Amino acid sequence: MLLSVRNLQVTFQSGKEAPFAAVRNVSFDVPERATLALVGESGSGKSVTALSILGLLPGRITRLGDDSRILWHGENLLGYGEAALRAVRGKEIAMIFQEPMSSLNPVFTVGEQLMEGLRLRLGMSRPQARTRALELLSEVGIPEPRRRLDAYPHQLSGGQQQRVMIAMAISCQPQLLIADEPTTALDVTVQRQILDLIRTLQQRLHMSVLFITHDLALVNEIASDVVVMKDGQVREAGPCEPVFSDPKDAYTKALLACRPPLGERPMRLRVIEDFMSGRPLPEIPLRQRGGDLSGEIILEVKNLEKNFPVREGLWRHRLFRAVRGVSFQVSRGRTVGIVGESGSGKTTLGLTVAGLLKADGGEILFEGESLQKTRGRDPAGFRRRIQIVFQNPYASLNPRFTVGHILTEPLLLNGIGGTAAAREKIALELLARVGLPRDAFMRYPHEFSGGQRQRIAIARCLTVKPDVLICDESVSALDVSVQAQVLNLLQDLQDEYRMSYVFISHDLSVVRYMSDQVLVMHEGAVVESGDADALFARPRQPYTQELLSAVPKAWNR
Amino acid sequence: MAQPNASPGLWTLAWRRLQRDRVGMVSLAVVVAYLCVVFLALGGWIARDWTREVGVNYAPPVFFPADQDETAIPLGKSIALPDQVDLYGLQDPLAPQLEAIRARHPDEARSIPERRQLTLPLGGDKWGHDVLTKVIKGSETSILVGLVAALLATVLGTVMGAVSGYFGRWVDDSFNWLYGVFTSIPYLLLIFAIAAVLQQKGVSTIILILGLTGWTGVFRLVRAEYLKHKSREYVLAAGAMGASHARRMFIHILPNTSHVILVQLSQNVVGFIKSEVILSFLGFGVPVDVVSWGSMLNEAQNELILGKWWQLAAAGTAMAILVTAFSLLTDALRDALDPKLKY
Repeated sequence: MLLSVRNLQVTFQSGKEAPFAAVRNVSFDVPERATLALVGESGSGKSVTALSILGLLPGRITRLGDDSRILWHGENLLGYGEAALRAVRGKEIAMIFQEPMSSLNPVFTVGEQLMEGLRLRLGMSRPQARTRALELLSEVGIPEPRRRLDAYPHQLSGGQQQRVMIAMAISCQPQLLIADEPTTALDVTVQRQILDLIRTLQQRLHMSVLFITHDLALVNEIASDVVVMKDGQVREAGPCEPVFSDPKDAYTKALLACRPPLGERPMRLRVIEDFMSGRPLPEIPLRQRGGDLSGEIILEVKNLEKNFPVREGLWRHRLFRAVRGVSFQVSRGRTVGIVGESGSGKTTLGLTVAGLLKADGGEILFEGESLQKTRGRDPAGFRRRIQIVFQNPYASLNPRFTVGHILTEPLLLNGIGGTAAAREKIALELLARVGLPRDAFMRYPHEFSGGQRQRIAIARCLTVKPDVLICDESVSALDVSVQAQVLNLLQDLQDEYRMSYVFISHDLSVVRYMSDQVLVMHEGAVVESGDADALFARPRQPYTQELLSAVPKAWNR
Repeated sequence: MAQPNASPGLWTLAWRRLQRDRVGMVSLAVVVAYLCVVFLALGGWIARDWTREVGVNYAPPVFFPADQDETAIPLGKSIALPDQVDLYGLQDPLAPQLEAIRARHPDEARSIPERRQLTLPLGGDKWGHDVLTKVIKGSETSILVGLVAALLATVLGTVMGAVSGYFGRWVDDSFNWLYGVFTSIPYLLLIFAIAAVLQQKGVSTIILILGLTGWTGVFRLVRAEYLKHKSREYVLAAGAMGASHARRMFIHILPNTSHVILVQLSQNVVGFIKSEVILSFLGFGVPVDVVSWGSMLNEAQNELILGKWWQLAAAGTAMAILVTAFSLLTDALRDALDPKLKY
């Protein structure tokens, strides 16, 4: 066995705080020339486990269990000193991280960073290291490696940066590669390429891979064995095939079920509690979406254009066309989904429709009236009736305001409620509606989890009774189980208030699940649009087909 | 409405973090002690009569033996005036009136024997003023100048930085031009220019000079904070709700930059207390009927030649302790107010 983790126990304690058990009694094996996936949501202890293998946890606050063992070729790494560990790190066990941009030093060229490791660890001369670096770059599939060698990290795309990170990791031909969420920050098509690369390299270099991810669908693509973690404990472990086709643990079942299925559209998604309660699961009826959309058109976007000036040289400016002639209609109570990769202009489109950016061309009609004509003044309060829920629940709430203040402020600004007591009552009702306890009113945003914060953001939009809600990647930053809860909440609210949604996401299955109609965006323009089910079943444009084929094919259910 | 478990605000949390910082708490205590002294001096409870000549000229500090040279008047010697003054054999024409006044007010009209201390707690200056009283009265002036000027500079810098960073474009360009002008003119030249325009000496002039020249540091940092925050999603969301620009700037963003502003404020206080000394040295300091640490240090220059070091030591030590405590408090405040450091 290459690596065996036995009874790993990691406890963090800082100051007089109560100790926090991040990893509890975790044991697993990584065989030679195999890929093991460590799966779990945020806070499950998967990254802590990986870092403890390399001894990279902050020593001052970390306590390891007495009988914890990390056996590398049979030797306990936990007993190693710093110097001995350094000899293992990079040379025998290498690691790549989630954010390739912050893992590379921005002031050195890619070549310098690659060569540094080669010269330090393998004692190569400069020309030798340069030759080897070139080989490595072509091995990880970077086009024009000779030119890229002298490029700075910011001149490469995210996918290429991650390829460079992989090249650095394999430069000393490690026996084990630890990949901590290596594709989470990347687009779905790029993710596919990186996964393919890791798989090929694993076979060609005869190494083992410990693949850490929150995405169960990826596991099926890359790993032979899987370990499912939750709250620092192993819930289920074994070869992928039996674990996915017939999960034994309630949590694994829940994780598999709470992703929107690609084939059908249930009324609501199952959430963790359904499984953990142990009660028999009720049948969920299917939801009808799509069909006739010619009902009451509430929002119409015609040939929308948005440009940003980009500086070129000292004086010249070039216009970057972020949104090019986009048109769509939203009917009352329906959802328009917008998918696209990063840089496709979907967020700019959302911000422009919400009135937070000024359009450079085209028209936005709300109930048949042009929003551009109001020119800053907004007598009919149209602007207020289009609200937006952002991606990052940590940035969208003012950290210095209490939740009560966050919810009552829009009421005050729009003259809803009258007295302070009445506003407080409305806010408390909305808190209850989005499923938050009453005492959340007096708390600050930092005391809530990501999912709860997103609920607060949704409640803030509801205060002004919008007709159109723009969800800009609103569930992308959330764990899958929380994602299901927020999606259910959004669906319920749509049914209750007959709101229309513009649902923007890079996640194809989520968009398909939520939408009646879907727009596929690429480089600022709409490539293809149509009924959600029809478009996903029979994509006509090559770009859409490529996008769909890059989605990790999960298990068959 | 019952308000269950109101959670601690960020200020409460910051205070808790500050309490855990031992150095920070000690420096806070020192600063508060100084402020109490200033408050008492302002109210006239202490150090009101610093102009009284209580000691002999250059009276040494108590733990030093008094000089026994001829200039020193022995302790307790009274200078009694003769009953009748006879100068050069002339009769004093006013003598009968003096007799009459003395007869009418037998208690008050007696010549009072003047007592001068040979030594004083922290020594005496050229005229025999008590240096301890002077230091206390001087701290009132210096700290007030530092605080008020720092407040003025910080408010100016914050408002300009907020407007500049928030609106960007030509507004930002024009404020940056102003910033460029202020930072590129030599500091002393600028002070001379403003002093020449104001045409009068006094505490308020010093405050104006320091306030009008000291805003640049705050401006730069606040502008950067606003540039960062204005495109944050919580500000966008406030805009979507219909919040005005002023509301977004000062109600939403300002509290999130308060840690930067507060730290700048306290750094300015320290800096301006030192600047007051420099201004006094250049002759732009406080008028002669006001005492400050700066004017004391200025006097001490000439005294040092005579070997009378105590006025310099007293003013220097008082200033050094406050400046050190304030700087340490600034560091502690910055750590306590940083929302990213949470425990």
